[in-house]
Amino acid sequence: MAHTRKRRSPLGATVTALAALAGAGLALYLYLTPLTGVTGTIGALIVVVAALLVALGAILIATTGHPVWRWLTILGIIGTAIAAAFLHGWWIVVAMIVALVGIVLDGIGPVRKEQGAAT
Amino acid sequence: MIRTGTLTLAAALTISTAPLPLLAQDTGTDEGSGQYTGQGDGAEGDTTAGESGDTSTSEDGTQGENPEEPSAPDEDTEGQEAPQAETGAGTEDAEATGDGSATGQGAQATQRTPVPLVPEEPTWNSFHGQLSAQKYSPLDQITPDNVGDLEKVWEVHTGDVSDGSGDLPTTVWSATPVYANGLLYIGTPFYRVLALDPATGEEVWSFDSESRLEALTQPALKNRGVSYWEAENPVEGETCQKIIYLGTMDARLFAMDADTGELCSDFGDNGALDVNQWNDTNNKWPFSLLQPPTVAGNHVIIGWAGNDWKYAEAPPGSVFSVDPQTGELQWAVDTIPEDIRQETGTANVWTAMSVDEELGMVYLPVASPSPNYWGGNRTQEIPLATSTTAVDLETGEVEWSRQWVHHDIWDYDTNSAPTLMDITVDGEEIPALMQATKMGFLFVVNRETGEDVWPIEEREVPTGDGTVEGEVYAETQPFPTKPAPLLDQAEKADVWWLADLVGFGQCSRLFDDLWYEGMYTPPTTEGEGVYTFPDSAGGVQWGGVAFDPESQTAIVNTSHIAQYIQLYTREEFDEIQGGSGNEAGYYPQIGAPYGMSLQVAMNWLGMPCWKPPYGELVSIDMKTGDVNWREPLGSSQKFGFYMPESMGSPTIGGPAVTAGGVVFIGSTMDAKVRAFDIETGEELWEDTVEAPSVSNPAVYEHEGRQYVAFIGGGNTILKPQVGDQIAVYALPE
Repeated sequence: MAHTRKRRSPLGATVTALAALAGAGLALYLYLTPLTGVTGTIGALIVVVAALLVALGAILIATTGHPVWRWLTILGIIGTAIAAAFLHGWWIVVAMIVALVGIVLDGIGPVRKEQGAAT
Repeated sequence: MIRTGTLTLAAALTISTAPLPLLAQDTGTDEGSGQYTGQGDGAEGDTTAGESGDTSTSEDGTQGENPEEPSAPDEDTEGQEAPQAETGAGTEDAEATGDGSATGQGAQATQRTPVPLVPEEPTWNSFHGQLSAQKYSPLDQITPDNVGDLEKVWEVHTGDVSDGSGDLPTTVWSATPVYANGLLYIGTPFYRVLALDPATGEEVWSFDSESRLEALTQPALKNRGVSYWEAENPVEGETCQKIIYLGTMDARLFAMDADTGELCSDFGDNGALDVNQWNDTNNKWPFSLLQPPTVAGNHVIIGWAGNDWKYAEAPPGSVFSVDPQTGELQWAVDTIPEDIRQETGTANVWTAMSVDEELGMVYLPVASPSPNYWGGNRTQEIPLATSTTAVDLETGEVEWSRQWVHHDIWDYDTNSAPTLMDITVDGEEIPALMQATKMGFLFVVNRETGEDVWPIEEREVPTGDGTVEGEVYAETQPFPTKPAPLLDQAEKADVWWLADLVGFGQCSRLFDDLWYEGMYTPPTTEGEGVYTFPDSAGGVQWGGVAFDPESQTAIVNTSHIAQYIQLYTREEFDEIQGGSGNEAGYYPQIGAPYGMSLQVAMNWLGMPCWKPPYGELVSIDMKTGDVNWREPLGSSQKFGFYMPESMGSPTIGGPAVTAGGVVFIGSTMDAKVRAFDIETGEELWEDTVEAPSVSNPAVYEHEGRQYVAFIGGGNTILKPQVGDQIAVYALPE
């Protein structure tokens, strides 16, 4: 018997993932580049890892659609933004705001119906 | 005029006026509590003979006014030709004294010409810019209006850096560049000298002392730069008419030609003077020359650092003046009475000194005796310990001395050069001196006489809980009435709620367990120990006070750090002793009945237990002694995370001020360098350097352009971030 599944457009999750990757890249830059003020610090590494986890969360949102990933990703975005602010990594904060916008888009975006396989 | 006789250094140094007994616990206020008055003109009272067997006498003379011819040396002393000279100082019958002021073997007195306290030309040719230690530049290209346009015009990385992870100890680089002879000179913690083009940073020459890179007396390889001397009447065609001096951890002072970097062969032994030849009492470690010597006239004045945390019996404090071209000893000052030199030690001068060339006085900031936190081996008075002591530039004779901590058992070394300033108080022009201290007190006295400008009161202080064997506490200590203390030591600081919350009440419990009855509560064996505020690194560090002579404004940075000290019986200490770092950890005090620990009050996450701010920048009107403004300075940083700037940062280093109305300072944990408006305290500019800039910046003019130089060197007291960067800023051309 065939069935249909409701899925969100991947636009929001894609925005979140890309913003999170950008944030991770910026944090890595701060970690590696001399005279950023946080060069080689544990704090910068934490933000790199946290931003990568946000990107992973976005992928899980897109692939599973399970609401738990949405909420965990939101928490991850907020935490990463706060940590980045304490690093004075203001562009990372901007990236996290964009990531949050992606989550919002994912929540309000058009729902796509998918035809399931016969069982 | 007399000539000194045959002298051996080991026989102690002679030609001295014996000091008056210091009223170490004097309760007087108006008359200058704790004031030691050297002879000078003999007006202060009888001089007393010291105990040195080697005596020489001097006639009454006019202090420092007449040139004297040096006498011929009579014999060599430990490989060093014994210097000979007449003393031109106004000594009465004098002997080598033990108690505080043994002075040396004769000075090569020279004619002094009047030297204004504030140089007429922009001068930054010594550690604090000028010998007055004002850290003041009359340059005014950079102003509050344009300082925001400052840009980094060059930077140099010396390569002389270690984070301690390899074979080398970590580096602590607190140097201030010296601008002289058209070049910028800097020493490094690997004990090299670089001579750089001041406009581009291009290396002109370098010198490598090939010194041992070992932490012989300090936990790190440390350097605070170099010194510069030039002959008043240079001999054409001769080398070494301009000389750069570099000290090393292993007690050698190198002298090199300022034009070429070639060693001056006439100085010491082919260009290197072994200062350790004078280390003849409790020689447990070398005299480490981390602070560049103070150079004034024809005197290179040398203090030294040591390992005062380790031993109760240590080399006793001494300051040497040597000839700038030969290294021959001119005079020496001993800071500990001869009869107890074997039992204690240190009370040394490890930081910069200041000089009033017109008065002919050198001002010595003298440290505490050893061991740092127990005084049962030194219960008699040590008048010059933890003091500011004024000595005659030509003879080393003590003119006056003010002791800032009696029977110091808190390691409250006098740790910065006093700032000399001419101020107008109640309409009276006063030749003053401001001594910043680790305690956060700013003592202001007349630099000619040592008398109070604003009253310094002797107040009763806690005298122990009876648990410490052999200790005899001072009953009173000096407290300045103006300016107000830079921090409030009257009670324990408030606990910071956030650190307490994160620590599940850890901070509250710790503060409850620590004993404290106010400033100068002594160390104890009981409970968690005694609370101490400020910490051993100090409310003010070696950067000292900057002074704008135009507005008579003093600028000083502070640290607010709470520590706790505990003494342990020898048996307990041997069981529990752990590692030690820079101003924190476990220290044996070998030879004392107690080892000790010194810890910063933090929770398990490393958050400070006390309420911020942790550091401030303070402006004081020296006409009134009142605070103009005070602002939190910088951001604290942990794991890379910056705390809000409203919380400030602990600071090490110091400010420089300019006639343009700008204060420049690094000093903070966040490794930023900043500029402030001297009138308002408003932050106007900042940049990031490689590591905390833990020295004073240098302000110089080269080919008509004003530059500001910072060193990003780092200090493990602040955080384990090190650097090797010289960063120089200027306005766009």
